[in-house]
Amino acid sequence: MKSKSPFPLWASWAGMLITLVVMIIIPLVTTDQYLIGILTRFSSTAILVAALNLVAGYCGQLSLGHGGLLGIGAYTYILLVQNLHWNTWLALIGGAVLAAVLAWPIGLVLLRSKGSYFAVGSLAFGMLILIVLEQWTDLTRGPKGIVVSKLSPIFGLDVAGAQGQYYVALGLLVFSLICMYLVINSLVGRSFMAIRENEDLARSVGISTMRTKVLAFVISAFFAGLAGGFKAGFVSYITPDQVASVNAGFDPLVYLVVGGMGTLVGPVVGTGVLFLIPEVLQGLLAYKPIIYGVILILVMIFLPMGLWGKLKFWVLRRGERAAGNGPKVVKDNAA
Amino acid sequence: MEGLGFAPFIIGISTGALYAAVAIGLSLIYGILNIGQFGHGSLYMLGGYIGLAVLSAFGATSSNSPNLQVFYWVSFVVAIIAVMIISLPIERFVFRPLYNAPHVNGFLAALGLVYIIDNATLKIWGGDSKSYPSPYTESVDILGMSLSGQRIVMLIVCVILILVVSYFMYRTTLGRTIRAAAQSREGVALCGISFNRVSMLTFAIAGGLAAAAGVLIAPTILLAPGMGMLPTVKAFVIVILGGMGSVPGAALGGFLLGLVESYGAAYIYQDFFAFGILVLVLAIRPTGLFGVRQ
Repeated sequence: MKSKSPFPLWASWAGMLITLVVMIIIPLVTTDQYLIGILTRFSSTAILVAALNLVAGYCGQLSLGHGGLLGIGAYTYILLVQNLHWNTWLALIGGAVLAAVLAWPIGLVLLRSKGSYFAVGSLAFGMLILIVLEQWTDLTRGPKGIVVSKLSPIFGLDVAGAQGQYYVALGLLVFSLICMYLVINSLVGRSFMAIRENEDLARSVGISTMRTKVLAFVISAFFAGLAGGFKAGFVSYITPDQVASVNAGFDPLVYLVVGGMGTLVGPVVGTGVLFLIPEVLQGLLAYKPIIYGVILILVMIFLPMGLWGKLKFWVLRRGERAAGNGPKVVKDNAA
Repeated sequence: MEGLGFAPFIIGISTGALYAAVAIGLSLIYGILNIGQFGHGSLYMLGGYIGLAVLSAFGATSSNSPNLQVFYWVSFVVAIIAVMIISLPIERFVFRPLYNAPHVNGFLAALGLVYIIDNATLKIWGGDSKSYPSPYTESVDILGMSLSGQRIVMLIVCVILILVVSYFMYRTTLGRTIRAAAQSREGVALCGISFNRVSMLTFAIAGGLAAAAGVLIAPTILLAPGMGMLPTVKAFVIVILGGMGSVPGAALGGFLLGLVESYGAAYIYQDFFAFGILVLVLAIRPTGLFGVRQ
């Protein structure tokens, strides 16, 4: 969707900066631990959604197995810290790296298939990870769960408190989004989008489609693993079901689709709308999954670009009309 | 060697027949709308729950209730009809508007359907597992092997259903219409056939098959709201094995998976097979065993 049209880039950047500043200020003006806890979970969820966006939104490969990658990140963190007594920060990176390393052979096999075949294949992968985490009780203590140590101080700062965790999550989210921005504006990122638009055409202009798709999956897995490692360090007690259940892979997809696939900000917007609103309106919490389902279907039918995608499209078209180019058909490719 | 006897064969064949019944529906829908109906397993689950609700309405909640046999088959028929009716608005309001959208959009809408059906079931019937009374509790001896009666019933009824659907698809005008519509939407429209009606009919048949499978398996397992996910994945595996849109392919794939699972269950965690086969097939032939290379 990136083009030379007069899309007010400054407005978009200003919006992001303002949001970031507000996010930084929130813990300074409120001592509401509950609110800070929710926002921390929001940030860590948004990292996973952004990771999914890279492979599903930009590269067009709908993965349902990101819950499994989240689980790999989380359990690697736990086991490195508990069994090998690694520094928690190294373990966090270790979890992300292991998720990326495992994603390579998995991607090599599963990405040969397309569309719903890949979606179901990746779901099967996610379910396998859940089975392994639940059955390999000697290592993971099985479905009963495992106690996790929190992140240790870094640079002399204690980050185990609610505020510390909040800033770590926010920092990781910003780091992830900057990495995403750099990736998608590089030649590699453009290749992702070329594959999404037309895989055969991409191959015909010399893009090694298989290698590029696997790369997208591996980078995405790294950030999914990072989100998993942070989640493990954030909650003090974790079960396989929490990180690798089927829904752990589905929910981020819903956030992503509603926010807008293939846009940098879409994952944050989608997570913000769907994750935060039910948390604030407690009465809705019980019906959350049903509402998610209805929203997902309605968005697919009426707003396939997602909220942010639609906004971007609308601004783009207005800009082009103002520039006298007339309405140009911008290819809607939410897939 | 216990693992290579006759009993695993019957168990494999009966489970396979059940898988085939579920997979045929998925395959038909894929053939006609090009959509991976990811919510298909949820209809299977819904069939089980509706059947149980019918039995409860009759007061037949334990396996020694009077006239259970009659009530069981009433619940079977009611569940099939109810899910067929539920399938109609699903086609009309969820999938039809997405006919011209990219396939992925239809798949995601189907995912939304899973959210709605599974969690509505959870709200209505609760999250605890429920047992389904069976009128066929006594075991049957065949060639010296003792087998549960419900399994035999499941095998027979599923095979009958598969044969009926095959006959319908290949030997009746209506079935031929469905296959024609799968080949060319414009083609059937030119012949004066309403594609939308054919599409609705396909969804109803698929939903009915799923519900039938749900009621047949219910007495041998416990009903739980999330039980549709695994059959969905397995049905996808089967359809990938047998080729999208093909009824004989789906039937064959179903029996194959059932047999592999039942013979392999002695050695390794059962559900590994479906996933293992899936990964293997995708690695060797990404478009499925009998799929067309794109």
